Amino acid sequence: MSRAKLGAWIISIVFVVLLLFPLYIMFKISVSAPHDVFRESPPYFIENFTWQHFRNVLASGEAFYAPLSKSFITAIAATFLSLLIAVPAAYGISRFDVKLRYILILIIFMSRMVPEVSIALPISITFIRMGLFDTTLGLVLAHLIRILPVSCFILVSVFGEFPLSLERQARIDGYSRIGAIRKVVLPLSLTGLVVAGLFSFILSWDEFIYASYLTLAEPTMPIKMYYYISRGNIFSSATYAVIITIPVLIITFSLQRYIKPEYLSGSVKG
Amino acid sequence: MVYLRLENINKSFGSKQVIRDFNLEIEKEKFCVFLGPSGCGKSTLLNIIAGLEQPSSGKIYLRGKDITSFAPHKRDMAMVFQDYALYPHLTVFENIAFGLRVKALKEDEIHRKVKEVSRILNIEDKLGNYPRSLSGGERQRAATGRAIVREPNLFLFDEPLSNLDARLRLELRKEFLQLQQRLRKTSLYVTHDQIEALSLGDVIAVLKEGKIQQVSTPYDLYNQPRNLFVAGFIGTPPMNILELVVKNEDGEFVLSKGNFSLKAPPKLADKLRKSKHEIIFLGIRPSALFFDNGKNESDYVFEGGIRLLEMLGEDMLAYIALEGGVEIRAVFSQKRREQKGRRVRLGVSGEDMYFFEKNGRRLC
Repeated sequence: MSRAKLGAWIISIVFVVLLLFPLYIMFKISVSAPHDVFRESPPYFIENFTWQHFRNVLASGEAFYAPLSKSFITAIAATFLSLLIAVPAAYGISRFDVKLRYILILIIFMSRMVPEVSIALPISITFIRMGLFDTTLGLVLAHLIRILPVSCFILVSVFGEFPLSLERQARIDGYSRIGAIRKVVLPLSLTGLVVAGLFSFILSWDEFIYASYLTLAEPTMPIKMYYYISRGNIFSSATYAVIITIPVLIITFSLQRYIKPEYLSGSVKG
Repeated sequence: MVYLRLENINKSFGSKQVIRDFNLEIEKEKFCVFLGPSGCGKSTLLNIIAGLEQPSSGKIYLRGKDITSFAPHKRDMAMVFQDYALYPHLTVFENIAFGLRVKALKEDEIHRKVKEVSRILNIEDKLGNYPRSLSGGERQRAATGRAIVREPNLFLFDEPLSNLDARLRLELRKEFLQLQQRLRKTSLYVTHDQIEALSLGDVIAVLKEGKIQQVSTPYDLYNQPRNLFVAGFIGTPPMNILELVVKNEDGEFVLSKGNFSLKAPPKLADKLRKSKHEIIFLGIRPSALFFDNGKNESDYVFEGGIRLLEMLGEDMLAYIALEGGVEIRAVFSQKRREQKGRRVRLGVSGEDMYFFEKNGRRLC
């Protein structure tokens, strides 16, 4: 192993440890007996392992399952809607010349220039009038405010990178423009679609501010976790935190195989 | 019989006009080449014919039928792109079969056709491969196979050989020529490579800034250029072009630049008597110049010193400084073993001299 390579490894390991350590603490608390945590100097390793906190959370019934399903439904709906809107929008934008493309993306990102805290209240007032307050649809729409600029941004560069001649080839070979997009552009842009979808899901899944303004009787998982944090129940909040993390990990790892950088290789000679 | 007719085609992108009043008729089974420097609008023209771009104005007729508003998939044309545009997720077989599958042909028919085409193109053993494992030449063949398997109305080629190295290009050029003789299909071929154009085209249309300069056979294009641009663009090394001032000395026309001067040949003198020209351009191909030993019948003789020599292979290219700072290129056999600095006498026959007006139009 060369010296530079060794250095790179050491730096990577340091970073990974720094990033994973808080996660480890979170996990450790969620499976530790209380007396291991409430100590003057808590141990670094799990000494008395217990599933008790998980059992408590799972046993809380509707109080746990309702936010879980609400969060899932919201995130899945937000992902689906964001792709439904962002795919055609981004495709259109990507076909403009680069200068106009840049301006349009900038305009789309303007909606993210306003802090969410400051627009969440007006939105919740408007949603109360429209009957969208404390509904899944209302929350999904609010989440789209933060998701759409990101998914559009990702997809514009995905479609912008897509070789135009490949799309044209499909149109020459007998597909209409829509057909070429459906049969060639989208399948071959799967990597980008997966990344955009992943971002959309995560942005909705762990969203807090809109959820805290727009939900009341039916909170989402992050709100539920905050409820335990504010009440000082660190075991429940750590357990919730672990539970919130798990789907993200599963989705990321299972979709990773679609993220292949060399997917288009051999197609066009650059 | 006119197969494809382009009528007053104009195309602008924003304020930039790339095609101007383009008119062209292509006969059935002809191989027509659009030749021009990059940015002359030749690829845009091909895209317009394919339906991938809409002309700003003008009409396209295929077999007498107006197809201007037809979408690409309704025109039944096949196109080979410069970058091949192979579907990366499909094998060579599926790439070639793609258009046939869209047409919903029967499976055994698809197999028969793909096999036949791959045999012609010599890629039978690559049918199971994915594009990324193919060499440049094989990719090119696969892309060509995908075009010919469809038996389309019209073949469109957008610089199909420009991404290959010189040796492979020569090989595939020959294959194209054989393919064309075998299939006898009406084709349009875009290139910036004049040798490719001259060797492949039945008809060549030379373009500059979106305008047709000349449409003719390769033979006429080389021997009878209609204007200065065509004369300078066709032929390697390029034609010598000298800008000369016309003077009338007691009824005799003399062309000069500084100390360098020559008498106007009779065919030019006739023209000069009919219309007044102050400046004309003289064009002489480097290969039309020969060594004058006093015995051969050269109409004109230039004397000068060899300033630079370039070995081209069998031929040698010499830059020769004439009087008055005029420099010309001459090509001759390397067997002469000429040396730099040597003084030479070069002759040229009057019929190998081309004269152009100041605006570029051929005078005689």
